[in-house]
Amino acid sequence: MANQLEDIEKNITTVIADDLEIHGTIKYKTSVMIKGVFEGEIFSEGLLVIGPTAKVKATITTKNMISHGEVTGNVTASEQVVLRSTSTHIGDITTPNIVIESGAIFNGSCIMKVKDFVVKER
Amino acid sequence: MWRKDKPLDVLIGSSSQFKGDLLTKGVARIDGSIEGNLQADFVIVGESGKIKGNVQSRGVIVDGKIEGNIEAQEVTEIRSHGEVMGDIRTAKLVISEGGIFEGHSYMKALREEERKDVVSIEDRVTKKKE
Repeated sequence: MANQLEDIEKNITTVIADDLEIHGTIKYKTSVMIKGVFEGEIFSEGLLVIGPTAKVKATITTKNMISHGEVTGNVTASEQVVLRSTSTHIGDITTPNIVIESGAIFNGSCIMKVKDFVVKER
Repeated sequence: MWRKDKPLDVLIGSSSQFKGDLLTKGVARIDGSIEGNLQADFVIVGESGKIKGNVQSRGVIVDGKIEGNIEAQEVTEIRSHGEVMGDIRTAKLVISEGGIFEGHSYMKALREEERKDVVSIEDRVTKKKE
């Protein structure tokens, strides 16, 4: 599992480090990894990786999300959501494809049968 | 945990249909279709299996379809062909790629008050006898 994370990390353009705390809105097109604390909104057309040390409180709209950390808030992912074994998710998930690993905690609703998954900016 | 060598207590074959509440203290494998609630020690829903009703068990593995709520003390696993339409209350939730889940997931331990609200099939069966 560590290798998977390392592989993803290599291709990630932006990393929000462990000791960084951000409040606000993040918009990007490729990939971002959050290792620190984030509160706000995330809009993306790419990949969002939540590291094991991360604490995220946000409304997330993205294409793909891989979570190893703590997420509170609603997530809409147009392609896939992966909750790895160390992750905790509180909030609703809307996605056509979901993978939850053994050990992950998920409290919230899951909506999978939505015909159009379009990433919309508010 | 369920082991392969543990014998099945209930097997609903792929060409079978069952209507009514089903209660067993052993392992139930459902390859056919069930309309009604199911309570078992362990539930396995095969690829062709369908359940329309609530499922109460220690562990549930779904490779077929469940339309109803699941309450599993230990583990709920939705395999790649599995489809769950309903709420899940469980300690451990695993969804494989391709598995479909529409509903709410409660993963905190049930509070005492909530426990009382859940009238188990076992209670209903014994009440009828009285």
